[in-house]
Amino acid sequence: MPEKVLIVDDSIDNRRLLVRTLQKGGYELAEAADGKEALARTREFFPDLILLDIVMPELDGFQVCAALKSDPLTADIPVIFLSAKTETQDKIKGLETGGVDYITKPFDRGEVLARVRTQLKLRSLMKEILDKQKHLDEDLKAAAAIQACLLPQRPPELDRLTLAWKFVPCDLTGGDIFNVLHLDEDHLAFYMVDVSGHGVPAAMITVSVSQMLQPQGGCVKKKIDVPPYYEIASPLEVMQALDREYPFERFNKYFTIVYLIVDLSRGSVVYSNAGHPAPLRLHGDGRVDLLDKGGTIIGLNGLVPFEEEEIQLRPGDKIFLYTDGLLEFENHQGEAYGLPRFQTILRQVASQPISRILDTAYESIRTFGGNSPVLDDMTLLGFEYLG
Amino acid sequence: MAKIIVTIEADLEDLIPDYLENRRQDCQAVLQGLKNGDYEGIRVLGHTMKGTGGGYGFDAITDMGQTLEEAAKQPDPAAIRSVVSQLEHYLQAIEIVYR
Repeated sequence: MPEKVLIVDDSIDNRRLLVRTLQKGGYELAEAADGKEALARTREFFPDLILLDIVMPELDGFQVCAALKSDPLTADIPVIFLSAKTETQDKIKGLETGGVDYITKPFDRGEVLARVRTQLKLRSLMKEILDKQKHLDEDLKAAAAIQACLLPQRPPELDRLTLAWKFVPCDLTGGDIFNVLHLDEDHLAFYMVDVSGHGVPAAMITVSVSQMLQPQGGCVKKKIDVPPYYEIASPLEVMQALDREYPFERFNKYFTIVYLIVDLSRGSVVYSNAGHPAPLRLHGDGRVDLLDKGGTIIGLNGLVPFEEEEIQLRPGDKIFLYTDGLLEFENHQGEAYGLPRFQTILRQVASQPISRILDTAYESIRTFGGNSPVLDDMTLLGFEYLG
Repeated sequence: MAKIIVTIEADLEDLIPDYLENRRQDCQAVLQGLKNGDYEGIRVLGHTMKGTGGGYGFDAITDMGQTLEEAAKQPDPAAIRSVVSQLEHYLQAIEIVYR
Protein backbone atom coordinates (compact mmCIF):
# COMPACT_ATOMS: atom_id res chain seq x y z
CA MET A 1 0.00 0.00 0.00
CA PRO A 2 1.56 3.32 -1.06
CA GLU A 3 2.27 5.85 1.66
CA LYS A 4 0.11 8.96 1.62
CA VAL A 5 1.36 12.53 1.45
CA LEU A 6 -0.79 15.67 1.80
CA ILE A 7 0.55 18.76 0.02
CA VAL A 8 -0.58 22.05 1.53
CA ASP A 9 0.26 25.24 -0.37
CA ASP A 10 -1.83 28.20 -1.50
CA SER A 11 0.21 28.42 -4.73
CA ILE A 12 -1.13 26.13 -7.43
CA ASP A 13 2.27 26.29 -9.11
CA ASN A 14 3.93 24.88 -6.00
CA ARG A 15 1.28 22.20 -5.59
CA ARG A 16 1.71 21.07 -9.20
CA LEU A 17 5.49 20.98 -8.86
CA LEU A 18 5.32 18.98 -5.65
CA VAL A 19 2.79 16.55 -7.09
CA ARG A 20 5.03 15.99 -10.09
CA THR A 21 8.03 15.51 -7.81
CA LEU A 22 6.36 13.14 -5.36
CA GLN A 23 4.77 11.04 -8.07
CA LYS A 24 8.30 9.76 -8.66
CA GLY A 25 8.22 8.32 -5.16
CA GLY A 26 5.05 6.37 -5.86
CA TYR A 27 3.08 8.07 -3.11
CA GLU A 28 -0.64 8.52 -2.95
CA LEU A 29 -1.15 12.30 -2.96
CA ALA A 30 -3.77 14.80 -1.87
CA GLU A 31 -3.74 18.61 -1.90
CA ALA A 32 -5.05 21.48 0.15
CA ALA A 33 -4.91 25.17 -0.82
CA ASP A 34 -5.15 26.74 2.63
CA GLY A 35 -4.91 25.99 6.31
CA LYS A 36 -8.57 25.22 6.97
CA GLU A 37 -8.72 22.87 4.02
CA ALA A 38 -5.52 21.24 5.26
CA LEU A 39 -7.09 20.32 8.60
CA ALA A 40 -10.28 19.01 6.96
CA ARG A 41 -8.36 17.03 4.37
CA THR A 42 -6.08 15.51 7.01
CA ARG A 43 -9.06 14.06 8.83
CA GLU A 44 -10.42 12.50 5.62
CA PHE A 45 -7.22 11.39 3.93
CA PHE A 46 -5.16 10.35 7.00
CA PRO A 47 -1.80 11.11 5.40
CA ASP A 48 1.42 9.49 6.52
CA LEU A 49 3.17 12.84 6.07
CA ILE A 50 2.22 16.47 5.41
CA LEU A 51 4.22 18.99 3.37
CA LEU A 52 3.09 22.33 4.77
CA ASP A 53 3.55 25.85 3.45
CA ILE A 54 3.59 28.64 6.01
CA VAL A 55 2.34 31.86 4.40
CA MET A 56 -1.27 31.04 3.54
CA PRO A 57 -4.60 32.79 3.94
CA GLU A 58 -7.01 31.86 6.78
CA LEU A 59 -4.65 29.78 8.91
CA ASP A 60 -0.91 29.91 8.42
CA GLY A 61 1.27 26.84 8.50
CA PHE A 62 2.31 27.32 12.13
CA GLN A 63 -1.32 27.43 13.20
CA VAL A 64 -2.14 24.36 11.16
CA CYS A 65 0.76 22.43 12.67
CA ALA A 66 -0.19 23.44 16.20
CA ALA A 67 -3.76 22.28 15.59
CA LEU A 68 -2.57 18.96 14.21
CA LYS A 69 -0.25 18.35 17.18
CA SER A 70 -2.96 19.11 19.70
CA ASP A 71 -5.31 16.48 18.27
CA PRO A 72 -4.44 12.90 19.36
CA LEU A 73 -5.77 11.60 16.03
CA THR A 74 -3.29 13.67 13.99
CA ALA A 75 -0.50 14.41 16.46
CA ASP A 76 1.84 11.71 15.25
CA ILE A 77 1.67 12.65 11.53
CA PRO A 78 5.09 14.07 10.62
CA VAL A 79 4.95 17.62 9.22
CA ILE A 80 7.66 19.00 6.94
CA PHE A 81 7.50 22.76 6.54
CA LEU A 82 8.16 23.99 3.03
CA SER A 83 8.48 27.77 2.92
CA ALA A 84 10.08 30.78 1.34
CA LYS A 85 10.48 32.19 4.87
CA THR A 86 14.17 31.55 5.24
CA GLU A 87 15.08 33.30 8.49
CA THR A 88 16.50 31.14 11.27
CA GLN A 89 13.73 32.19 13.65
CA ASP A 90 11.13 30.85 11.18
CA LYS A 91 12.89 27.50 11.09
CA ILE A 92 13.11 27.41 14.88
CA LYS A 93 9.44 28.30 15.19
CA GLY A 94 8.52 25.58 12.71
CA LEU A 95 10.46 22.91 14.56
CA GLU A 96 9.21 24.08 17.94
CA THR A 97 5.63 23.99 16.67
CA GLY A 98 6.16 20.31 16.00
CA GLY A 99 7.55 20.09 12.48
CA VAL A 100 10.07 17.34 11.90
CA ASP A 101 11.90 19.19 9.13
CA TYR A 102 12.02 22.56 7.37
CA ILE A 103 12.84 22.96 3.68
CA THR A 104 13.27 26.44 2.23
CA LYS A 105 11.89 27.53 -1.11
CA PRO A 106 12.82 27.54 -3.88
CA PHE A 107 13.42 23.88 -3.18
CA ASP A 108 15.50 21.28 -4.89
CA ARG A 109 13.17 18.53 -6.06
CA GLY A 110 15.63 15.76 -5.24
CA GLU A 111 16.08 17.13 -1.74
CA VAL A 112 12.32 17.22 -1.12
CA LEU A 113 12.00 13.63 -2.26
CA ALA A 114 14.92 12.51 -0.10
CA ARG A 115 13.65 14.24 3.02
CA VAL A 116 10.12 12.91 2.52
CA ARG A 117 11.53 9.40 2.14
CA THR A 118 13.59 9.78 5.30
CA GLN A 119 10.71 10.98 7.43
CA LEU A 120 8.41 8.25 6.16
CA LYS A 121 11.05 5.65 6.93
CA LEU A 122 11.44 7.05 10.44
CA ARG A 123 7.69 6.95 10.94
CA SER A 124 7.53 3.35 9.78
CA LEU A 125 10.40 2.35 12.08
CA MET A 126 8.76 4.12 15.00
CA LYS A 127 5.50 2.22 14.38
CA GLU A 128 7.43 -1.02 14.28
CA ILE A 129 9.18 -0.19 17.56
CA LEU A 130 5.90 0.75 19.23
CA ASP A 131 4.28 -2.48 18.02
CA LYS A 132 7.15 -4.57 19.31
CA GLN A 133 7.12 -2.68 22.59
CA LYS A 134 3.40 -3.38 22.92
CA HIS A 135 4.01 -7.10 22.43
CA LEU A 136 6.90 -7.03 24.88
CA ASP A 137 4.74 -5.24 27.43
CA GLU A 138 2.00 -7.81 26.97
CA ASP A 139 4.50 -10.66 27.38
CA LEU A 140 5.98 -9.01 30.47
CA LYS A 141 2.55 -8.60 32.03
CA ALA A 142 1.83 -12.25 31.33
CA ALA A 143 5.17 -13.27 32.86
CA ALA A 144 4.46 -11.10 35.88
CA ALA A 145 1.07 -12.76 36.31
CA ILE A 146 2.68 -16.19 36.14
CA GLN A 147 5.32 -15.20 38.66
CA ALA A 148 2.66 -13.75 40.94
CA CYS A 149 0.87 -17.13 40.87
CA LEU A 150 3.99 -18.77 42.28
CA LEU A 151 3.89 -16.56 45.34
CA PRO A 152 1.65 -17.50 48.23
CA GLN A 153 -1.75 -15.99 47.55
CA ARG A 154 -2.88 -15.51 51.12
CA PRO A 155 -1.45 -16.36 54.53
CA PRO A 156 -2.50 -19.82 55.68
CA GLU A 157 -4.75 -19.88 58.74
CA LEU A 158 -2.78 -21.46 61.52
CA ASP A 159 -3.46 -21.77 65.25
CA ARG A 160 0.10 -21.30 66.37
CA LEU A 161 1.46 -18.79 63.92
CA THR A 162 0.42 -15.60 62.14
CA LEU A 163 2.24 -14.31 59.14
CA ALA A 164 2.24 -11.54 56.56
CA TRP A 165 4.43 -10.28 53.73
CA LYS A 166 5.13 -7.37 51.44
CA PHE A 167 6.51 -7.84 47.95
CA VAL A 168 7.56 -4.87 45.79
CA PRO A 169 9.27 -5.79 42.51
CA CYS A 170 11.17 -2.96 40.82
CA ASP A 171 10.11 -4.17 37.38
CA LEU A 172 6.96 -6.01 36.34
CA THR A 173 8.87 -9.24 36.97
CA GLY A 174 11.36 -9.66 39.80
CA GLY A 175 14.38 -11.60 40.98
CA ASP A 176 12.90 -12.06 44.46
CA ILE A 177 10.66 -14.92 45.36
CA PHE A 178 9.45 -16.35 48.62
CA ASN A 179 7.06 -19.00 49.80
CA VAL A 180 5.49 -20.73 52.74
CA LEU A 181 5.41 -24.52 52.40
CA HIS A 182 3.15 -26.74 54.45
CA LEU A 183 5.51 -29.72 54.77
CA ASP A 184 3.22 -31.59 57.14
CA GLU A 185 0.84 -30.78 59.98
CA ASP A 186 3.69 -29.85 62.34
CA HIS A 187 6.21 -28.32 59.96
CA LEU A 188 6.16 -25.15 57.91
CA ALA A 189 9.03 -24.11 55.71
CA PHE A 190 9.74 -20.51 54.75
CA TYR A 191 12.17 -19.45 52.12
CA MET A 192 13.19 -16.24 50.49
CA VAL A 193 15.32 -16.09 47.35
CA ASP A 194 17.06 -13.15 45.70
CA VAL A 195 18.47 -13.82 42.23
CA SER A 196 21.25 -11.52 41.00
CA GLY A 197 19.97 -8.84 38.63
CA HIS A 198 16.28 -8.29 38.04
CA GLY A 199 13.73 -8.32 35.22
CA VAL A 200 12.88 -11.32 33.08
CA PRO A 201 16.16 -13.32 33.33
CA ALA A 202 16.13 -13.21 37.15
CA ALA A 203 12.39 -13.93 37.21
CA MET A 204 12.85 -17.07 35.13
CA ILE A 205 15.37 -18.42 37.61
CA THR A 206 12.99 -17.74 40.48
CA VAL A 207 10.44 -19.90 38.66
CA SER A 208 12.98 -22.70 38.33
CA VAL A 209 14.02 -22.49 41.99
CA SER A 210 10.46 -22.32 43.26
CA GLN A 211 9.60 -25.45 41.26
CA MET A 212 12.54 -27.29 42.77
CA LEU A 213 11.45 -26.28 46.25
CA GLN A 214 7.89 -27.51 45.86
CA PRO A 215 7.13 -30.24 48.45
CA GLN A 216 6.47 -32.74 45.66
CA GLY A 217 9.76 -31.81 43.95
CA GLY A 218 11.83 -34.24 46.02
CA CYS A 219 14.23 -31.66 47.39
CA VAL A 220 12.53 -30.30 50.55
CA LYS A 221 10.60 -33.48 51.24
CA LYS A 222 12.16 -36.77 50.23
CA LYS A 223 10.28 -39.98 49.58
CA ILE A 224 11.35 -42.98 51.68
CA ASP A 225 10.22 -46.59 51.75
CA VAL A 226 9.05 -46.74 55.33
CA PRO A 227 6.16 -44.91 57.07
CA PRO A 228 5.44 -42.05 57.00
CA TYR A 229 7.04 -42.52 53.54
CA TYR A 230 8.62 -39.07 53.57
CA GLU A 231 11.46 -37.36 55.28
CA ILE A 232 11.77 -33.63 55.65
CA ALA A 233 15.13 -32.45 54.31
CA SER A 234 17.09 -30.25 56.68
CA PRO A 235 17.86 -26.70 55.65
CA LEU A 236 21.50 -27.72 55.26
CA GLU A 237 20.54 -30.48 52.85
CA VAL A 238 18.36 -28.08 50.89
CA MET A 239 21.24 -25.58 50.56
CA GLN A 240 23.55 -28.33 49.34
CA ALA A 241 21.01 -29.61 46.82
CA LEU A 242 20.44 -26.11 45.42
CA ASP A 243 24.16 -25.48 45.24
CA ARG A 244 24.63 -28.66 43.17
CA GLU A 245 21.68 -27.86 40.91
CA TYR A 246 22.52 -24.21 40.23
CA PRO A 247 26.23 -23.76 39.62
CA PHE A 248 26.97 -20.18 38.56
CA GLU A 249 27.95 -21.17 35.04
CA ARG A 250 24.52 -22.72 34.41
CA PHE A 251 22.78 -19.33 33.99
CA ASN A 252 25.62 -16.91 34.70
CA LYS A 253 23.64 -15.94 37.73
CA TYR A 254 23.84 -16.64 41.42
CA PHE A 255 21.23 -16.32 44.09
CA THR A 256 20.94 -16.01 47.83
CA ILE A 257 18.41 -17.91 49.88
CA VAL A 258 17.38 -18.22 53.46
CA TYR A 259 15.45 -21.36 54.34
CA LEU A 260 13.73 -22.02 57.67
CA ILE A 261 11.68 -24.91 58.98
CA VAL A 262 9.34 -24.12 61.87
CA ASP A 263 8.29 -27.04 64.05
CA LEU A 264 4.91 -25.81 65.30
CA SER A 265 4.56 -28.51 67.96
CA ARG A 266 7.97 -27.83 69.55
CA GLY A 267 8.16 -24.10 68.78
CA SER A 268 11.60 -24.48 67.23
CA VAL A 269 13.18 -23.09 64.09
CA VAL A 270 16.03 -24.67 62.20
CA TYR A 271 17.50 -22.60 59.42
CA SER A 272 20.32 -22.17 57.00
CA ASN A 273 21.33 -19.27 54.84
CA ALA A 274 23.22 -18.92 51.58
CA GLY A 275 24.47 -15.36 51.41
CA HIS A 276 21.08 -13.86 52.18
CA PRO A 277 20.59 -11.00 54.67
CA ALA A 278 20.35 -12.62 58.09
CA PRO A 279 16.78 -12.97 59.37
CA LEU A 280 15.88 -10.94 62.43
CA ARG A 281 14.29 -12.29 65.57
CA LEU A 282 12.18 -9.73 67.43
CA HIS A 283 11.65 -10.96 70.98
CA GLY A 284 8.46 -10.21 72.89
CA ASP A 285 10.44 -7.78 75.08
CA GLY A 286 11.60 -5.78 72.06
CA ARG A 287 15.14 -7.17 71.75
CA VAL A 288 16.28 -7.80 68.19
CA ASP A 289 18.95 -10.24 67.19
CA LEU A 290 20.24 -11.73 63.95
CA LEU A 291 19.95 -15.36 62.92
CA ASP A 292 23.36 -15.25 61.37
CA LYS A 293 24.41 -18.81 60.68
CA GLY A 294 24.82 -19.79 57.07
CA GLY A 295 27.22 -19.80 54.17
CA THR A 296 27.93 -18.08 50.92
CA ILE A 297 25.77 -17.65 47.82
CA ILE A 298 24.29 -20.54 45.84
CA GLY A 299 26.37 -21.26 42.75
CA LEU A 300 29.87 -21.83 44.09
CA ASN A 301 29.54 -25.60 44.18
CA GLY A 302 30.35 -26.17 47.80
CA LEU A 303 33.35 -23.87 47.93
CA VAL A 304 32.34 -22.76 51.44
CA PRO A 305 30.36 -25.21 53.59
CA PHE A 306 26.88 -24.15 54.69
CA GLU A 307 25.95 -23.96 58.36
CA GLU A 308 22.71 -24.73 60.09
CA GLU A 309 21.30 -23.62 63.46
CA GLU A 310 18.32 -24.47 65.58
CA ILE A 311 16.70 -21.95 67.91
CA GLN A 312 13.82 -22.17 70.35
CA LEU A 313 10.96 -19.69 69.98
CA ARG A 314 8.97 -18.22 72.83
CA PRO A 315 5.34 -17.19 72.37
CA GLY A 316 5.35 -13.66 70.99
CA ASP A 317 8.66 -14.06 69.15
CA LYS A 318 8.59 -12.73 65.62
CA ILE A 319 10.92 -13.65 62.77
CA PHE A 320 11.52 -11.41 59.74
CA LEU A 321 12.96 -12.39 56.40
CA TYR A 322 13.82 -9.68 53.88
CA THR A 323 15.89 -9.05 50.78
CA ASP A 324 18.78 -6.61 50.48
CA GLY A 325 16.70 -4.34 48.22
CA LEU A 326 15.03 -3.15 51.40
CA LEU A 327 18.21 -2.28 53.30
CA GLU A 328 19.94 -0.81 50.26
CA PHE A 329 17.08 1.49 49.24
CA GLU A 330 18.63 4.92 48.95
CA ASN A 331 17.25 8.40 49.47
CA HIS A 332 18.16 11.39 47.31
CA GLN A 333 21.28 12.01 49.36
CA GLY A 334 22.55 8.53 48.46
CA GLU A 335 22.10 7.27 52.01
CA ALA A 336 20.90 3.66 52.33
CA TYR A 337 18.00 2.73 54.62
CA GLY A 338 20.22 0.23 56.43
CA LEU A 339 19.84 -2.46 59.07
CA PRO A 340 20.01 -0.18 62.15
CA ARG A 341 16.98 1.84 60.93
CA PHE A 342 15.09 -1.36 60.24
CA GLN A 343 15.86 -2.76 63.67
CA THR A 344 14.80 0.51 65.32
CA ILE A 345 11.44 0.48 63.57
CA LEU A 346 10.86 -3.14 64.58
CA ARG A 347 11.59 -2.33 68.22
CA GLN A 348 9.21 0.62 68.15
CA VAL A 349 6.26 -1.48 67.00
CA ALA A 350 7.28 -4.79 68.56
CA SER A 351 3.93 -5.32 70.28
CA GLN A 352 1.88 -4.79 67.13
CA PRO A 353 0.46 -7.61 64.98
CA ILE A 354 2.73 -8.85 62.23
CA SER A 355 0.83 -7.23 59.37
CA ARG A 356 0.88 -3.85 61.12
CA ILE A 357 4.62 -4.15 61.75
CA LEU A 358 5.25 -4.81 58.06
CA ASP A 359 3.04 -1.89 57.03
CA THR A 360 4.94 0.40 59.40
CA ALA A 361 8.31 -0.85 58.22
CA TYR A 362 7.39 -0.39 54.57
CA GLU A 363 5.99 3.09 55.24
CA SER A 364 9.22 3.97 57.00
CA ILE A 365 11.24 2.84 54.00
CA ARG A 366 9.13 4.86 51.54
CA THR A 367 9.22 7.94 53.75
CA PHE A 368 13.00 7.62 54.02
CA GLY A 369 13.38 7.25 50.26
CA GLY A 370 10.92 10.00 49.31
CA ASN A 371 10.21 9.59 45.63
CA SER A 372 13.55 7.94 44.92
CA PRO A 373 13.15 5.22 42.31
CA VAL A 374 13.04 1.62 43.52
CA LEU A 375 16.09 0.07 41.89
CA ASP A 376 15.88 -3.42 43.38
CA ASP A 377 13.06 -5.74 44.40
CA MET A 378 11.98 -5.43 48.02
CA THR A 379 10.52 -8.37 49.91
CA LEU A 380 9.63 -8.55 53.56
CA LEU A 381 8.04 -11.51 55.31
CA GLY A 382 7.30 -11.88 58.98
CA PHE A 383 5.70 -14.44 61.26
CA GLU A 384 4.82 -14.54 64.93
CA TYR A 385 4.92 -17.69 67.00
CA LEU A 386 1.82 -17.74 69.18
CA GLY A 387 2.75 -20.78 71.28
CA MET B 1 15.93 40.64 -28.43
CA ALA B 2 18.69 38.38 -27.13
CA LYS B 3 17.39 35.04 -26.07
CA ILE B 4 17.81 33.79 -22.53
CA ILE B 5 18.33 30.03 -22.55
CA VAL B 6 16.86 28.21 -19.56
CA THR B 7 17.26 24.48 -19.06
CA ILE B 8 14.30 22.78 -17.43
CA GLU B 9 13.83 19.16 -16.37
CA ALA B 10 11.95 17.31 -19.09
CA ASP B 11 9.29 15.89 -16.81
CA LEU B 12 8.04 19.43 -16.13
CA GLU B 13 7.44 20.33 -19.75
CA ASP B 14 3.66 20.15 -19.59
CA LEU B 15 3.56 22.40 -16.49
CA ILE B 16 5.69 25.20 -17.92
CA PRO B 17 3.16 26.99 -20.14
CA ASP B 18 0.72 27.43 -17.23
CA TYR B 19 3.52 28.48 -14.92
CA LEU B 20 4.74 31.19 -17.28
CA GLU B 21 1.21 32.36 -17.99
CA ASN B 22 0.68 32.75 -14.23
CA ARG B 23 3.77 34.94 -14.09
CA ARG B 24 2.41 37.14 -16.89
CA GLN B 25 -0.77 37.48 -14.88
CA ASP B 26 1.35 38.31 -11.83
CA CYS B 27 2.83 41.25 -13.75
CA GLN B 28 -0.68 42.58 -14.38
CA ALA B 29 -1.70 41.96 -10.79
CA VAL B 30 1.33 43.88 -9.50
CA LEU B 31 0.58 46.88 -11.73
CA GLN B 32 -3.03 46.81 -10.53
CA GLY B 33 -1.81 46.58 -6.97
CA LEU B 34 0.33 49.67 -7.49
CA LYS B 35 -2.73 51.57 -8.72
CA ASN B 36 -4.68 50.46 -5.62
CA GLY B 37 -1.83 50.96 -3.19
CA ASP B 38 -2.03 47.27 -2.24
CA TYR B 39 1.59 46.74 -1.27
CA GLU B 40 0.78 43.78 0.93
CA GLY B 41 -0.77 42.02 -2.07
CA ILE B 42 2.36 42.83 -4.09
CA ARG B 43 4.55 41.56 -1.28
CA VAL B 44 2.70 38.21 -1.25
CA LEU B 45 3.03 37.90 -5.03
CA GLY B 46 6.75 38.55 -4.75
CA HIS B 47 7.05 36.05 -1.90
CA THR B 48 5.30 33.36 -3.94
CA MET B 49 7.39 34.08 -7.01
CA LYS B 50 10.51 33.82 -4.89
CA GLY B 51 9.38 30.43 -3.67
CA THR B 52 8.42 28.89 -6.99
CA GLY B 53 10.89 30.14 -9.56
CA GLY B 54 13.97 28.13 -8.70
CA GLY B 55 11.98 24.96 -8.12
CA TYR B 56 10.89 24.94 -11.74
CA GLY B 57 14.35 25.95 -12.91
CA PHE B 58 13.75 29.70 -13.29
CA ASP B 59 16.30 31.05 -10.80
CA ALA B 60 15.86 34.53 -12.23
CA ILE B 61 12.17 34.49 -11.29
CA THR B 62 13.18 33.64 -7.71
CA ASP B 63 15.59 36.60 -7.70
CA MET B 64 12.98 38.96 -9.12
CA GLY B 65 10.43 37.69 -6.63
CA GLN B 66 12.78 38.47 -3.77
CA THR B 67 13.43 41.98 -5.10
CA LEU B 68 9.69 42.53 -5.52
CA GLU B 69 8.98 41.34 -1.98
CA GLU B 70 11.63 43.69 -0.55
CA ALA B 71 10.40 46.61 -2.66
CA ALA B 72 6.82 46.06 -1.49
CA LYS B 73 7.93 46.08 2.15
CA GLN B 74 9.51 49.60 1.78
CA PRO B 75 7.23 50.42 -0.21
CA ASP B 76 9.16 51.53 -3.26
CA PRO B 77 6.86 51.95 -6.30
CA ALA B 78 9.71 52.74 -8.67
CA ALA B 79 11.54 49.58 -7.73
CA ILE B 80 8.34 47.61 -8.11
CA ARG B 81 7.78 48.93 -11.65
CA SER B 82 11.36 48.12 -12.49
CA VAL B 83 10.95 44.49 -11.42
CA VAL B 84 7.75 44.15 -13.43
CA SER B 85 9.56 45.49 -16.45
CA GLN B 86 12.43 43.06 -15.96
CA LEU B 87 10.02 40.17 -15.55
CA GLU B 88 8.06 41.05 -18.67
CA HIS B 89 11.27 41.26 -20.65
CA TYR B 90 12.46 37.96 -19.20
CA LEU B 91 9.23 36.16 -20.04
CA GLN B 92 9.50 37.36 -23.63
CA ALA B 93 13.17 36.48 -23.98
CA ILE B 94 13.37 33.00 -22.48
CA GLU B 95 13.95 29.99 -24.66
CA ILE B 96 13.48 26.72 -22.85
CA VAL B 97 15.62 23.67 -23.36
CA TYR B 98 14.23 20.48 -21.80
CA ARG B 99 16.64 17.87 -20.48
